Amino acid sequence: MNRFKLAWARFVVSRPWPIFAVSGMLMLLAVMSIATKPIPYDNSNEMYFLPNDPSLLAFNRLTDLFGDSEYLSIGVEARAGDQDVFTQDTIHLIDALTQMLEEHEVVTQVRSLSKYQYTHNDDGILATDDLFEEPDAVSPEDLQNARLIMANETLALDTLITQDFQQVRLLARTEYRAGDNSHKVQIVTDLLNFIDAQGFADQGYQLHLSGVPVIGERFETLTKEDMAWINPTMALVMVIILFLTFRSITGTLIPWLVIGFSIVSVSGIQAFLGWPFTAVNSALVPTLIIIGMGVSVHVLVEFYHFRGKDLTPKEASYETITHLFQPVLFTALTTSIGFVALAITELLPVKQYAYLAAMGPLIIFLVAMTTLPVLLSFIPWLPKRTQMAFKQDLVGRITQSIPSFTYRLRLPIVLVGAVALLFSLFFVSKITVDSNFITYFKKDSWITQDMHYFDEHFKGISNLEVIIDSGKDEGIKQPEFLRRVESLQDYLESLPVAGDTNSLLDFLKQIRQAVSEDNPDFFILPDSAQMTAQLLLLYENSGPDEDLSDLKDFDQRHLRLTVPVVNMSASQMTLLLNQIDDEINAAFSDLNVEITGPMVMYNVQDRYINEGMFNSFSIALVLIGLSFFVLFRSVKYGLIALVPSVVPILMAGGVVTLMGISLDLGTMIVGAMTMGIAVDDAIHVVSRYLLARSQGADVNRAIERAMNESGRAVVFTSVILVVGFSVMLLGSFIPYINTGLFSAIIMGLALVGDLIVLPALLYMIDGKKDVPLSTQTANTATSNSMVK
Amino acid sequence: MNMTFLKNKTAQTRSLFKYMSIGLVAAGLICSPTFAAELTAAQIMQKVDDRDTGETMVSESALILIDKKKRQRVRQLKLFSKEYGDVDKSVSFFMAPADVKDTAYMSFDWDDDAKEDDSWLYLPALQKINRIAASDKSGAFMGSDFSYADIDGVEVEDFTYRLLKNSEEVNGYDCWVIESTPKNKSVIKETGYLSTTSWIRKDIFMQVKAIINVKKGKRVKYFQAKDIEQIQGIWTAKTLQMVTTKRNKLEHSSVLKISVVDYQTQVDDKMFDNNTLQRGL
Repeated sequence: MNRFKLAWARFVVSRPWPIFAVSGMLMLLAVMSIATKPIPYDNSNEMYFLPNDPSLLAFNRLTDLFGDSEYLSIGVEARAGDQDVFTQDTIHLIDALTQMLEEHEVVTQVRSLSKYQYTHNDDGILATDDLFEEPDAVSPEDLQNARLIMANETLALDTLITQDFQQVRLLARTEYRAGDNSHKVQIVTDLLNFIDAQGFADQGYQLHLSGVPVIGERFETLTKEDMAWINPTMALVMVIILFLTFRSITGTLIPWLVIGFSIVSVSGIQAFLGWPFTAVNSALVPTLIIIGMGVSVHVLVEFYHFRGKDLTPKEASYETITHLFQPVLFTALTTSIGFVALAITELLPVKQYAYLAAMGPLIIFLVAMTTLPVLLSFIPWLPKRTQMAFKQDLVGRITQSIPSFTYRLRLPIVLVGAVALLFSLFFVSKITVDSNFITYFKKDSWITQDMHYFDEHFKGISNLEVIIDSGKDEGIKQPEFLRRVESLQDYLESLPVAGDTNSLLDFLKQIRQAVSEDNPDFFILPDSAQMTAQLLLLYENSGPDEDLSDLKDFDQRHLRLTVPVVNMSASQMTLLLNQIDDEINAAFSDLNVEITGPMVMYNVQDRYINEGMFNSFSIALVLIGLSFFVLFRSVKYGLIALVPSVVPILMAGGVVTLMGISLDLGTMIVGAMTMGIAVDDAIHVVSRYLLARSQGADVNRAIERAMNESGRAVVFTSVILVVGFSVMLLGSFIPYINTGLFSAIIMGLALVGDLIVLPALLYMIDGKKDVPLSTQTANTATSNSMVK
Repeated sequence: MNMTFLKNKTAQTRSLFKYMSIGLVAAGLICSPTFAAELTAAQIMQKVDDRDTGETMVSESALILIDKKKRQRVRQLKLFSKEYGDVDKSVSFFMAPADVKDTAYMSFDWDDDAKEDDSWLYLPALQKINRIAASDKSGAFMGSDFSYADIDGVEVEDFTYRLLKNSEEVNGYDCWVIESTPKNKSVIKETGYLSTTSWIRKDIFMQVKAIINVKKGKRVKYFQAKDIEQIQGIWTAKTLQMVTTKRNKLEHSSVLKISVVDYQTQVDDKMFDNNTLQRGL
């Protein structure tokens, strides 16, 4: 290793042009790859499922049998001065929205008051009539008449209009396009623009929007809005800190070359493999920024350190490589191993992120140990400011005082550290993995408030879609079957979280009542299969808009119950589904029931992501720990290095749990991202300590060197990244804010771990003997340094 | 709402279904090509409408409903119709599937526009004759792709016509291509049609193809009349197909296949009273 390292360093500094040429070629290849095969977006649910996942199959069956199952909800409140929603203006507004939606290419069906049809007996004539003949010109009599009609419309009460007539809603069934989010963005954007252009707000109307398409749109729009200004701001903040650190344009810009190189390379590979952008791998860029920044700052600090000692640029580059080759390789390997461990998950997006992220550190290692030092060897100038900054800056004074400080307080520090570890372990054991849409958006955002609105007035926008298989074609007409489904429907509606079910049963009852001179005693199910068939035929012939194809399938074998449930977290949804499953097994085992729907899918998807990530993440930590032992060839130093690497992550997990936040996709990815940097810094400090010890230094001297040389870079990278990522706190999408918050916490804690706890531990463990360790670690981290 | 499908009315409506049959007398009058070439679009459509298709008709047919995935559901119908001076009466009985057997649908289509058409549905399971409203013709007929306007026809004078092409071949026959547009909003509301492009066979004045733009959901429906043959001297299309699309994507389609048609058997007036309806065939 040692000879290889020296040969490498000699090769690099003596052959700059081939290295530049190869780097340039690789860049060109990556750019060409991206240009020829642009990376697509994929925000679909399906990609989180394996092809034969039962949940996915059930959902596909739902779409197959009953068509699209995603709905956009628009809620309209009666204006302050109005008696209820039955006013000319309100009906006109509903009509305008209905028409806009009906003409929209993404919408397949609209249910609304303005096109509501009721089946009734009109002087002996059975008719399905419009509630409003001409919704754009209603008279006061029409409105009064509509009130009387709607008061008895069980099919519409609490689904289209509340009992008190104060709230009304429109339901637009939107096309289901697997693997696509852009149509959701399109319909919601068009709708928002329409509402704006019509000036409904000026007329005193408060509209509420929700549903699967709206959530899909908000996800994408908010993320993009946040990223559009926060990412550049974050970069700017980092640039400023870099400049303050190095007081040199070169030092400020060079990390970005490394980061840029790695981003372009990884994107090139991604494009080549045809892997799409997903919610998960949107973390790739921050991941590469973190790793790239860490490595380049270490290289720069080392380079300026040697330049400060009056070495030529070429010599300084050579020394930088020889000093950093091993730790940078170690950090690249451990981080890479960590990400590969993440890839054991079966979730495709996580797998893809993991593989790409695993390539990142290796690419950064190559750049940092070839192109970067070569580039530096061509930079003859060393600004006085930089020299001065390195000699007597605040960071220098801090790192110089660390050894004595940590030595004096080694026992309390280690004790506090141990208590913190125990505390963390305790809370980490209580970590919950969960997610809920509502927590993805800020409390005061309209999307959150509108979700609450629909929860309050219409029992939410999440539907449980219940498919019941009668076992044979035309089987749904059998009265025994219908009555069993009625009991199931009654049970589902009796759940406190559930609202009124939309099902064929209600239609059949309504038609039977209409046939029976509107006698409410006949709001009952048919008596025979023939009667069911004939009532349906009668309904089809009474001229309705709705063909019931979303309630029964073409072969009349399956029925669908759509049960609205209020918003709840993934874990609550799981509990609810289990509870329903138990009841079905106990009381409805004769029925073949399947429960699915977009919300169920989202929940399953979230659960998969979370559990998958949690497992892979634990494995990644274990693997990294093991690789420490291998890399340092010492269980003792492996364990010591592990403390500042892993404890911050555990502590952050503890803090998160203490704050009552559940781990979700966002926090998990942050864990993976920051794991890299926390581990890297620990490796740098321990490597430098061991290097010093192997060169004969005592514990105190070795710690001093580790602190002054590596510690400086550790402080710089941590400050740059903590401050940089704090900018994300200004975002509006909660997972995005959490990413910033948790990265800042973890990197801050890692800094404390590396600079305070680690030296204290070394004093405690090695300090007793205080003899050079060259004999013990002869085969580790030795360097034939040119520096005397 | 009436049930004049397969059966032409005198003078006032044009119906897709009547295009399958055309009176020999009328055809004889106008089959000279020179005469035909001078017709305006409106006159052509009037000619199409003005046909005698026999006084009575008895037919058996299958209404096949086909979904997006080509799954089929078949309903067997037996139909009787008869022309009276001021009214066209028709009654159809469902023969299959079993659970709707003996369900009967009867309609009286009055020539007097002021008089609302009558229709009834007899449901044997409820042993009850139900009168059915007949106001909106844009609704689906028996859950098929044919609307009541397609079945019953619309008023010729409610539309303006434009000859798009003087000559285009459909299945080897020369046709006029004519566009019909509703004259006002209420026609759109009643029929559901935004505009129709029709291919009219010049030799027999039969609509053999049509593309209908429908208001509801901005759908486009494609009509085709096939298996056209002369039966008892009357031109009859034995297969009628209607395909519904939305944004160029197939939604579903329906086919009406006539297996037996008879224009000569006398239809008893008693076919059109309630007792027959309840007694069944």
